[in-house]
Amino acid sequence: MKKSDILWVQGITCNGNTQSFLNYPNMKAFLKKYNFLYHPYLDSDLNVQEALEYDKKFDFLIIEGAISKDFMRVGFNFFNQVQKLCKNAKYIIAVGTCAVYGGIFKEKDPENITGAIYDKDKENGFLKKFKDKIFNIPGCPAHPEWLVFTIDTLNKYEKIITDELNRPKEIYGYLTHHGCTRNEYFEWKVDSKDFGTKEGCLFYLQGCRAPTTHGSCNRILWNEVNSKTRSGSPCFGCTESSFPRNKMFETKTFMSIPADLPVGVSKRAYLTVTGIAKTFHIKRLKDKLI
Amino acid sequence: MKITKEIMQKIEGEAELELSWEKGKVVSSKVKFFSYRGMEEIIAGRCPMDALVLTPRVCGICGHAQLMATVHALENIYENCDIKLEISEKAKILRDITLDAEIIQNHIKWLYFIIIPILYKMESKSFDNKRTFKALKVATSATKLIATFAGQWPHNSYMIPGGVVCDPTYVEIFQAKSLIDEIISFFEEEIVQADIEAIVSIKTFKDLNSYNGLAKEMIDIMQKHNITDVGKSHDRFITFGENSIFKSSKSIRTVTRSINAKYIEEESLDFTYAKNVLYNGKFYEVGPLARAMVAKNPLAKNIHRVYKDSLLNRIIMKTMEIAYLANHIKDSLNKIDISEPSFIKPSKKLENLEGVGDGFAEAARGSLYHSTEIKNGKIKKYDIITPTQWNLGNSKDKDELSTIQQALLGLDNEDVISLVFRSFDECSVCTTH
Repeated sequence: MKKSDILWVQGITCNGNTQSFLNYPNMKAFLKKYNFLYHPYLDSDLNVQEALEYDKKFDFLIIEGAISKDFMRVGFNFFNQVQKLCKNAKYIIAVGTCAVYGGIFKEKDPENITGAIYDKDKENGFLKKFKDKIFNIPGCPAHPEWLVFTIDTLNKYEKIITDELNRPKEIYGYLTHHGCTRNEYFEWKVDSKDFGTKEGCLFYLQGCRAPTTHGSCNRILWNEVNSKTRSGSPCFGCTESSFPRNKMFETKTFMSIPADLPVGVSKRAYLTVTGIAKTFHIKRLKDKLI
Repeated sequence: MKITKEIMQKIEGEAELELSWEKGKVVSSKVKFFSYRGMEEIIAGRCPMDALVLTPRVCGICGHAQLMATVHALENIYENCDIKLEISEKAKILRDITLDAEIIQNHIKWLYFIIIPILYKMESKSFDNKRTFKALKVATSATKLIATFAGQWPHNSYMIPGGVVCDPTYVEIFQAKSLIDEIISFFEEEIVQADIEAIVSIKTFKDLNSYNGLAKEMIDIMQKHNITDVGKSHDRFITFGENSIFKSSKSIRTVTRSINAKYIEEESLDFTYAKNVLYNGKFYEVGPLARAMVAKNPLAKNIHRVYKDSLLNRIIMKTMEIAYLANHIKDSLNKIDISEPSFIKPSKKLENLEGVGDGFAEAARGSLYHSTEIKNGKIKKYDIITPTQWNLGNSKDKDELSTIQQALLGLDNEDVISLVFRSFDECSVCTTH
């Protein structure tokens, strides 16, 4: 069977998605199905100049990093070259929050740096005219399984079910909260008193964004073993257009209620359930696990 | 005089290497980095704790070292404000373990994806890619080990002033032990075919050469092509990061002296985004060879007697560092007392402090330096100096060349130039933070 071609280019980036992809556990199997015309780390057919000037049709263009109209890559205007590549690619995948929304590197020059389709949450990215064939895999970085799933699905079925932000629903239909080992503490409103504990939920005090963040971090574990919230780190909401927020280790509250509630949960529902949950003092949940 | 320009690729981005030639030999060189991302400006004006989320994003391959430097800089602000922070032994050990694991994954990738392909190209042979896949798999054992404690890799923020956020059980400790055993077995089977105890006690070049494996294969190729002696620089080394395995010091040839961060100077240039870094007016080499030389590692010193700070010594010590660190992680895992606290809350919040702080960490490629100032509850300024800046300067003074410029001087072969250049394992994204 003919391998599908992938060309991976980088705008304004830290290479985090490139490195994250190298964590993919079944790389040998992956490379039996796909050929890298260019990859920023792995051995590939073209050098970076040839990749940016590639003018034939190919299957997958992967864009890592944010886009600005004057960003130069090895002497080429990146925006000019990437537009030509977009025309020739069958599918375009924006991988990582910078490529999807602008991300951290947008903060340097917010007026002139965007993601592919989006500029933060506005549909105003410099590549929005290619919207119909762009698939968004946000995350800082994106999980390698999310990326491979998207490539595999498009390769096999030539389509993938996406939400209104062009994200695959099977990854971003979930919240980061789903599958967190601290779920029971969230349900019974037992907060972590501080960092460095196995017990308690990080939503109320430590800034955890998992109930408001779309992603599968706790369903498809990181590096096959863990997640931020399981380990004791708050979720920073890195798959969302609002990343990076301010005061990421603190929960913003309004009259002692978290300013942002779990997706789709009304304030009344949240207050009612919280009020009731808090009236029960469940010893098991207040005690140390071990 | 002929001038050539080449784009050096897959160095976490790219750089342009400009060489001037006379009579077929390199007489001078310049390194140019193309872009600048403004991380220091992005951090300025934000809440101090947010730096722990932002700085790892300087670099996809050494973000954990960036995190370590940030946490040290922030903790230094407490010290400078006369607030004593208590960090448990457990937290210190965990921080070192995950940092060392990040260095291991980097070195494995560098060895198999960068160095070996060039050496094999010189031999007109191709390297069996089964061995490369095996190496990549083992690199993921190292990143998995980081994630076991830190939640994920790349890009976690599990070190915070006062300790770490995780609270592992012996389940995680044993998982980590299995992962480090995998890495050690790989080194024993593939790189130096001996037991780890024997490997870490190798004291002479002759001794190292008596074992089969990839290390010997590399030495043989370098000897065959007569390049064991090339790539020498100033024979000046410096290491700033200090922890349970690395020592902060400088060494000129084999004489070591203590150092002070106040002598670090940055110098801007008009043709590249990378700034020069000097210590007391001189260029120094940072990285695994520098770490070994300042720590008076017997093998590094033995190789140094004949080959000085050559390509050979640089490649061998970077390769051997994988074994030193893996063995150190194994020992450290046995020292963790899980009953100790992971995090001891500082008596004051960072935004209520005012002052400056310096933080150092040893990253895969060498010393990383962060310095920051908090004022009115916000980060007033943030400065980052990365290892590649130390090694890849562009001297303004032709009598005091940078480390890389000196190392490239007199070379006459494209593959060898590439090998010497890449023996420093430069990182473009870090340099253009």
